[in-house]
Amino acid sequence: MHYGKLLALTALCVGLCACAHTSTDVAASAPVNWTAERGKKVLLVDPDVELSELTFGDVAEPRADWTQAGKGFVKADVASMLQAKGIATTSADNITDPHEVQLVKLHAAVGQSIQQNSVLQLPTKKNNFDWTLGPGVAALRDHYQADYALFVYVRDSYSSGSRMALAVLTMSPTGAMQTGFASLVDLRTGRVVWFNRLISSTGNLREEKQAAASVKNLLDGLPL
Amino acid sequence: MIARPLLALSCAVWLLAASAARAAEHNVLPPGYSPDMSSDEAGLWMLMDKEEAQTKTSPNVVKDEKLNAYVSGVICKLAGEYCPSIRVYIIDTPDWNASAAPNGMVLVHTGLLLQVNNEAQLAFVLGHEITHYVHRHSVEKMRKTVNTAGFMKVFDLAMAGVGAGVGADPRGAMSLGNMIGIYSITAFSRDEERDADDGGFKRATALGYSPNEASAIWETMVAENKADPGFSRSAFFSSHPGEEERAATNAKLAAEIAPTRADWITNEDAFHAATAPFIRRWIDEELASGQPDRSITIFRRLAANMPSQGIYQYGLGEAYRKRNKANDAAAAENAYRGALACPDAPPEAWRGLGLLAMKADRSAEAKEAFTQYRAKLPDATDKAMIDFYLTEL
Repeated sequence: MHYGKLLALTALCVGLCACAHTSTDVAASAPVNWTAERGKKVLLVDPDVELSELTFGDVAEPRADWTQAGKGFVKADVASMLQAKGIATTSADNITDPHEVQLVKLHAAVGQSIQQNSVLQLPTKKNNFDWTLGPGVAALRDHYQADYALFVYVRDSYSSGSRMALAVLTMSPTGAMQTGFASLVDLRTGRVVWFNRLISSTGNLREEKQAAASVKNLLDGLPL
Repeated sequence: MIARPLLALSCAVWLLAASAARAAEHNVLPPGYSPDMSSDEAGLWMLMDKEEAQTKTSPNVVKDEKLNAYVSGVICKLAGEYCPSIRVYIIDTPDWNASAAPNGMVLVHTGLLLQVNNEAQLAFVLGHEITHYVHRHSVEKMRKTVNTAGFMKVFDLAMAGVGAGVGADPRGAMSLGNMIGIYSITAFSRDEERDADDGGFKRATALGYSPNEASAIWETMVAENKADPGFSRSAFFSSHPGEEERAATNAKLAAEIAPTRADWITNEDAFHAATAPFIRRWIDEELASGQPDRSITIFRRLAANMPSQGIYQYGLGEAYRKRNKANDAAAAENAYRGALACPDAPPEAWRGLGLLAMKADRSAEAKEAFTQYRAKLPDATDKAMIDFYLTEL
């Protein structure tokens, strides 16, 4: 369903317009009764954020200072958005337990697969949104006494001065791109119950206000 | 994604190799240094810190305190004033390899510990890696890559007219993170490798490690490559200067420095004492790598160096038996018998003999060997299979 739409929008964002696009998926089988889940606690997993500078020669060079600032904004914005909704949260920063580290890596792998499947669908998977991290997530539930975990993954790049100058000179888009996803995982079953993708050719996670706008897009439609 | 960085990287090496050694000399890491947060170097460290966080919890990291203390001790002496900035992880994998990341994370593969002859050889390899770290070759490599990509862009624009290639799809942009992941070991230029060899030699000989051991490493490689032209030890060697060149360079350096003192050390005993508890495991992992040609080359040397250690002859026997080419059965039998003549003979050498005899229809011999195996290792995990063979023979 999203296949053509997302591809077209991706192409459009890359090629022409300055736009932000999000698309949401909700678990297909046994949908969650969100009204009943309202009092539940959500674990905010340390967001995986990486900001890079897109050099003149199209190399994405990671920037530690931008990443530090951007990650700080994303973290604070996610926490305050959930707080504003009246959702009880707890956070997991600097995870060091080997099993929990594996779960974070597993989520990254599953999240990438969901992303990929939205563009190039596996023939047998189709649109059936039944992704899961498996029952191993019980470790997170027990450790943090939480019912759901919210994972956030964002990559953003910004053109270097020389690259920007060339783009202005030739009146072409800079090609820098913000991509990310957020997912809500039921810690009782491991199921990814809600997933949202973000792709945007604008936005700036290095700035507090713009970062808040990006996070708002990323959590758009969070059913809690 | 792979083809493009590879092309760019090989270009980087060819275009800029000449300046590498000189650049390295001027770019020595100050001890206790951490890069400015807004620098490209800090971005590189950030990626490596992430890698390290994952390495820390990897099930492949060897946790044994004694072995870690020993290997870290050797590295600490070599690193000198950089010791407090270095963290060592021993990775359980049968490759002849070690690496030093720009943030001070040093990885030592167990295959290296299995295959070097003594502490001196280990020191020359680790000194080489520490020099990559101290001379900041990684950040040099990154800057060269970025610059080269820039040159290529200018070239593209010149070829296609202004406007083409600008605003390129960022999915086509090269992510340094990916490139570093793939090329961290192989991407240094040959000049940087020579610089690292030179630095490692100086660090190790300053500690009294016998300079002849440096050339011995490479002479071993040359001999083993000649014995087996298809032999590929690991990715470590694919970008490194030829072993023959390194052996010659090191031999020349050794000849110069050797007469300056009489008390050069190899610390062979300390090395074997530290690694002995793990040798059997590492041998099994080498055998499990599924490269019997490589395993035969390695075990032939180790068995010849340490003829009283039956464990290496056992490994040689297993490798021959698994390869199973013409005359390998005889070679395997010979190796198993050599192993069984040693006090540390592993009971599995009997099993090997039994399997060979069974295959050659020498039933009585097979029965005798399997019976010995069962008696010497009553709780063997494959005892049910062996007992079945015994009833069939």
